[in-house]
Amino acid sequence: MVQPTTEPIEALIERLKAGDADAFAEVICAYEWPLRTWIVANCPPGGDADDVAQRTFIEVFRGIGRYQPGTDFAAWLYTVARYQLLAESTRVRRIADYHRRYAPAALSAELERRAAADPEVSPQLDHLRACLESIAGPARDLLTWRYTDDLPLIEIAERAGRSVAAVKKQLFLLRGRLHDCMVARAQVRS
Amino acid sequence: MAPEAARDRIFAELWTDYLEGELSAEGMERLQALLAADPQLTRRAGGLYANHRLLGLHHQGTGHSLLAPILQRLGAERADFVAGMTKRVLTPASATWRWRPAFLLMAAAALVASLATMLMRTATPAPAAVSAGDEPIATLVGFDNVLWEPRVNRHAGERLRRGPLRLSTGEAILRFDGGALAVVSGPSQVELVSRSVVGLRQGRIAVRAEADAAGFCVRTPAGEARDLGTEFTVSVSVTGETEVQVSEGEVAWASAPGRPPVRTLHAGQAARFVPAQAEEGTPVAFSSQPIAVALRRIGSGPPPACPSADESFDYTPGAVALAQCAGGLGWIGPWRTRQGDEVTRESDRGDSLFIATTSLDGAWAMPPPRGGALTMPAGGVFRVRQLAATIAFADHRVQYLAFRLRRETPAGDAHFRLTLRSSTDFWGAAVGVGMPASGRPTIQVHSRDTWVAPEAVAVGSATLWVVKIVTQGAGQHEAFLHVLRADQALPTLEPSPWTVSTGGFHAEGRLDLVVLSSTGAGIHTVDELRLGSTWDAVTRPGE
Repeated sequence: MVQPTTEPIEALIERLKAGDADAFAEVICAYEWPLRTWIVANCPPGGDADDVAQRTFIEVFRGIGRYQPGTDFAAWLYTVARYQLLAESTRVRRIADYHRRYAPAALSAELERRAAADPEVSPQLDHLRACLESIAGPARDLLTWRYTDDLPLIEIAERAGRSVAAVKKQLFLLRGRLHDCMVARAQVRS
Repeated sequence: MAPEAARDRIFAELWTDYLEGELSAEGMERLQALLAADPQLTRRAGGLYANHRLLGLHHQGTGHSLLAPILQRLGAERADFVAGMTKRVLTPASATWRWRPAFLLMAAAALVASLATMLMRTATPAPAAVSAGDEPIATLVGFDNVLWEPRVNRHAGERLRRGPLRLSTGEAILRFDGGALAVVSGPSQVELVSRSVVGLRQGRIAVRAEADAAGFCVRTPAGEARDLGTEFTVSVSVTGETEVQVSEGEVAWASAPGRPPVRTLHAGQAARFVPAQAEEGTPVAFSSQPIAVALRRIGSGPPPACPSADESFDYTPGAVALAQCAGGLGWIGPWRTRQGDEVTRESDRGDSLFIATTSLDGAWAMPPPRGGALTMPAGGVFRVRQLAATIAFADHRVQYLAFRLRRETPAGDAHFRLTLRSSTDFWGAAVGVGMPASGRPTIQVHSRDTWVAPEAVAVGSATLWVVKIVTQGAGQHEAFLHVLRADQALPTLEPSPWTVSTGGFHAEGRLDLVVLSSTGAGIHTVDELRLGSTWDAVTRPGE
């Protein structure tokens, strides 16, 4: 297994350009999760975030000769990712009845606007983890059943001893609470 | 209730249904209206949606790495990369490409880990109204003497979704969307898991996975056989004992999905594995037949069905008045021009068909060509003919359409289309295929959504076009297009992947008109138009 590297990224790129394929695996390990987080958060409904992430790294692999040493590798990586995300958006928009089936047009446009904004090496997952710490007990169970176990709402309702409508309402409130918490943390950080 | 509170309540209901994949088409329209009227709410929805996706990512944990699938995808071009990198980056003195053992191990691990990656993908929360689990993953391309359990009528070309597939007798050929071909022999209990994974609880399955299909997995109660670019057979007894026979290439055996392989079986080897016992299995005599034998056996079943409609343009060469062009079978009336509301600003030219003397020919021509061919001259030419049998989106059926096409001259604005439309709602639902000026074949749905082939078709060369339309009642329909060059042999089974495929789309109504159109300065020749219920019916029809 490839272990996370502490080697500076420029040194890794140097090794990769010199033909050391191991260095590419280390680049993936170093950037996989922040990049994946950004892509997942910005991928259009119906899109395949993992595929976009894979294609991003493959394009980086193919185009590493174009990277100028000493410039910002992360910025270059995210530029490639943004292009791949745009291609994915184009692909899904060509699905017949896309806006009727996958995403309202207004939401789709908003997600594209968000993706077009300059990505930062994403602290979103850190914010989310921190915000989740404030949620415990039955509410946390609800999130686990929904997102980890991927249970249908009716089964979640049975486990929680509540109606489906009540589960839906609580999920909405929980999501809203987490969103507000993350926005607040992002504002403090900025 | 205050307007804002009412709006918030409605948004909460619609939004939650949306994220849970339960929002109806009407609900989607209401949500769109709500968001379109309130930019602030739209921004909040964008944030909520992103967080919803992050919640999914967070709760899946971080144990899944993209490393293995990336390396697997790069594997095919690794050699090119080495050469390219060497040429671009390295000086001759320093060119020392090092595919270290660690990297080779990673590449091998990629094969094992790709299943885990695939499972992760399918487990990704589906926020949209259409979940990934509803999508077809394989095609039933043929069968012989099969009794299905439960007793259902299946037809060749039918798309198959995730879930069980049982046959008590007979043999069935499945083509997985990942490209692998499988022959299941009854009695068998199969679980369709994904485009490249199948479960076998009991029975027998023979698999051929070439090129891109490599990595195909068969899961059994005793473990998992992963193809390494090969052909193999897996048999499972009622007690779960699993026998793996490798006809070509290699198969990696793991005691459970996602675990590292404990043994690699080579061509001519066979082994038996017992659930929860000796992981490396015990050798048994090799006795498997090549999958081609089974395919020939199934293929020698009933002769191909006749097409439901066919038109060979077997008319007197030269200009033939449209009223005289009523040949072929399965049509209502002769060819005609567009009429009334069907006419656009591009008016139809002429009132005849121009028939060329010789038919279009190619390696795929089955049976040999007969009669002439239809030449569509430069300019706006539209010809319409009504089918006796309709394609109804309300049905659960598979219909095929085939025709031959040649673009005679290059032209910057040439565009050929064959569109299926409705005689009662001409501008309503429609499925068409075409060749625009770029030469890249397209599928167009509702005259609006277009899917384009990656490669262009050469000018001056005959091609065979085969279209497949899968109607699914209230579900999502699919359309596929495969284009064969003149020198390409006709596949005995329908292909995977197709040249172009649409994925799911919604449509209602019936299609019963064939509309041929040729616009711009290009000249197109069309021939041997056929519709039918099977691949064979339109590509090698029974006489």
